[in-house]
Amino acid sequence: MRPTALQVTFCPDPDPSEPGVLVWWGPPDPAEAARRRGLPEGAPGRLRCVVPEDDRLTVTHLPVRLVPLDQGLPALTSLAVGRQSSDSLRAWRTAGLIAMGHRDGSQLDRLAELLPPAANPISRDGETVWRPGPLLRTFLRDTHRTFARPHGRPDRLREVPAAAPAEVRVSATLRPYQLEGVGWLRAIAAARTGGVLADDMGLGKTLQTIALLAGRPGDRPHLVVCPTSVVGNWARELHRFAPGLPVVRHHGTDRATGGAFPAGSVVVTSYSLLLRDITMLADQDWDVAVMDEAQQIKNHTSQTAKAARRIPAAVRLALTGTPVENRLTELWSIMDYTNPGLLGTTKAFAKRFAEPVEQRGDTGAAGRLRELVAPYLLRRLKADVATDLPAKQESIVACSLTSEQASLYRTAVSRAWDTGFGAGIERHGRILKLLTELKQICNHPAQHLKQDGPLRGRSGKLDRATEMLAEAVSEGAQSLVFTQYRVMGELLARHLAERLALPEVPFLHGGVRQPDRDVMVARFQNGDDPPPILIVSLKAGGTGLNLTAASHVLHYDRWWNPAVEDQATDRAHRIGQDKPVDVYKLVTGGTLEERIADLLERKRSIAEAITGTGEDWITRLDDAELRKLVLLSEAEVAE
Amino acid sequence: MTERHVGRGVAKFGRSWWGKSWLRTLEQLGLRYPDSRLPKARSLVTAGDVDMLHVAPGELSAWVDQPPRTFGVTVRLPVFTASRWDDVTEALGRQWRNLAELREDRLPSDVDRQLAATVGATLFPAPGELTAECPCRDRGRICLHVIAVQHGFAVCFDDDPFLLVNLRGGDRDTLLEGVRRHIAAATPPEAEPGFGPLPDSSPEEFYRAGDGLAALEQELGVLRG
Repeated sequence: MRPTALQVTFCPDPDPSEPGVLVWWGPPDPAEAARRRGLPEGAPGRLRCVVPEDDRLTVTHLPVRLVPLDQGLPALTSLAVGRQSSDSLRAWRTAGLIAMGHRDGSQLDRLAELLPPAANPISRDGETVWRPGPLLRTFLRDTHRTFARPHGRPDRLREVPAAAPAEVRVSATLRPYQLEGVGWLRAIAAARTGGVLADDMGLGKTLQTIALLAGRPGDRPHLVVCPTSVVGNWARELHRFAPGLPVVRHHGTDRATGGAFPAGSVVVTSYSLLLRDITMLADQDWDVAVMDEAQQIKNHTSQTAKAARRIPAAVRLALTGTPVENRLTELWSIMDYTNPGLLGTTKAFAKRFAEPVEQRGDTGAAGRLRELVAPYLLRRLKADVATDLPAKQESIVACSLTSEQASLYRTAVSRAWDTGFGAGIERHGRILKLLTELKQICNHPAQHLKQDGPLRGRSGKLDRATEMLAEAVSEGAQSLVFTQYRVMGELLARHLAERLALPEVPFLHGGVRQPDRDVMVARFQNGDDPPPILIVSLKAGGTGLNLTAASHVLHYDRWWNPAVEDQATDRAHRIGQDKPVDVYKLVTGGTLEERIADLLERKRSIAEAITGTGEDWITRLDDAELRKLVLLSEAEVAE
Repeated sequence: MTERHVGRGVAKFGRSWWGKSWLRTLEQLGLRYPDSRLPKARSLVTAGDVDMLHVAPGELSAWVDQPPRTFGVTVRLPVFTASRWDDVTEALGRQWRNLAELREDRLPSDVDRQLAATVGATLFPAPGELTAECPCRDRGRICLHVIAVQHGFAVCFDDDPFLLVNLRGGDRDTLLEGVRRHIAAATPPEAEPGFGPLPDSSPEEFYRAGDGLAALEQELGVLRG
């Protein structure tokens, strides 16, 4: 017999110097029950408890909500109780009133005599429970300690070592600010709380997170949730920087639908699968749970945000370059996942912070908010760490393939093989035709099929590029986007203007007349209100342009000739540039794009042997080599 | 603290209990309900005509724009002496719930009842404590401009209850630290872990508390009020 009314207990921390937490349990969804009563939802967890089951008491693991005292207690004590309230809730409300009232707390011993077993069901060892007297006295001590603290932060967090950690187990050299970031993440993890890493794009949030994961004890699995378009990228970066960490892609149709994940592994999944498989994912005992591109959970009423809040984890992290895009409530929603209850209920947050700050520009309220979130939010702007940054930073960003792209790709490859390539000049032409076809499919099915739209959700690369550019725009940075194709450039210009709400996204291509070209460049470089994004066709952009206003360069598709690409990149990174430039080369995972990128990275000799400006070297490969290069690897296909 | 054009566009005055209480102090200054100047005063605030509202120990002042003239209004409230502040923090430091509310920027709803019973003073103006000055020619008991400034203050006060503490000559951090110091001076409760066997109650008894719970709740309810 499971109770339907919300039950309450208190769980002391195994470490007596740390305060315990209030626990909501009982109904199948205790968070929902708490919310309906106006109590904070707390963080999800699982505890070993003794409860009635089929007419007898049994020890079992229960899904519970864990609520820090400073959040749960004021709400609990101000609750009106009635006939529908459970006795355990009334008992702990009474304990709260005693603890929050006069200093002596003398009625506690009387309460100890009255406590129902339901108010004290936790049994860590399965054989004993806390006796009511010591439990209530621990509760009183912890309550007083909690409220006597100047700030709401745990003691351990306040003692964050300023020095960077001595040993970081990743195969990469971390920059000084990244070492600091890893130190901060470790302090958050040691305090078993959560945090938001909100560094600007390009500062290495992924790498810092991987360094944290690599240093964890590995007794439980970790979860990384990210947009579909970067699932492959996460898996690849994990392999590259922490080869010792087993990676499980929870992705695609053959994903596991039950059972436990291996301890110490990193499970990478997408937001759409988080929603679809939430029951299974919420049933695991995670060590670190990471929400990447956490803007995805900025709307607290969305299904995605609700699902994120159900994931039980010891350490909860959110990664985002833009913790607040439009409204302060977005920060509330993200931190309601990382640090449930820290910012109070939505209503209280709106009244205390959002309205004063947004409607009345109240600097006092803004300062109090900053002080409250400071221990849990780390944000470094590019300008803050500029001295640590190299002048030019190149990275390859792997994107996933949508199922539409995958089937077009497979069809194109098998058609080419059925027809054969022939020899001589004919062979050369056929191979180039296949390459072009495959590149266009990777760019966007609409480009390949010569359609006008729709554009959203059909290309992993376009979705990823849109996210990255949105982040750059909100940073106030200017970006250059290079593509080889006029058609793709036009699709990009239209799509980006619409999705990022920009008045225009200019496109500089071979068909733009010289005077118009000069105006475009001048506006981008020195305009009063310069467009944040300029799309340039690689051929037009190759020579003679000075576009140093840009601090981000995105190669939407690849010209497999490093010399040509470098020349384009140097439009932004050239003499006169005073800020670091980030160069992103987008490739679609599992396709020829990724394999050629790998080939060029690994074999500098090939790269150096390529002369001229073409991609002809590929046509000199034999059939077997070509096949290896273009065949689709099925693991990369999105669901 | 100085704010420009306070309350421009606000929809409601006195959203918090303390903001509402502040508006009731208008009666102390001589306002009698109904008064036809109230809507006029509110619309001066929402139009942004209450400007440069400044809160300092002992007085709040603001300019009320009523073209072609501008009126400099001052409202005064006596500050607490250092020893009174010490008594206040000691009194508030007797109950943990005061600290729990103050650290989240709320005034405990019975703060003045607690202080009246212990210190014999209140944060909100006692009868006769509040005075107002305005250079306008209205020689009645209270003028339009004072009503407007009081409403303007209520808007800021809603967002920051510690403005009343500032007006009494105190500040948020010192007050919180004082309350914390006094409450921590009490003997810290001791606690040792202690374990017993698993319960062996029937499923019905499992959820049921002992009979004295209602009585204890009632006792605490009385104590709280």
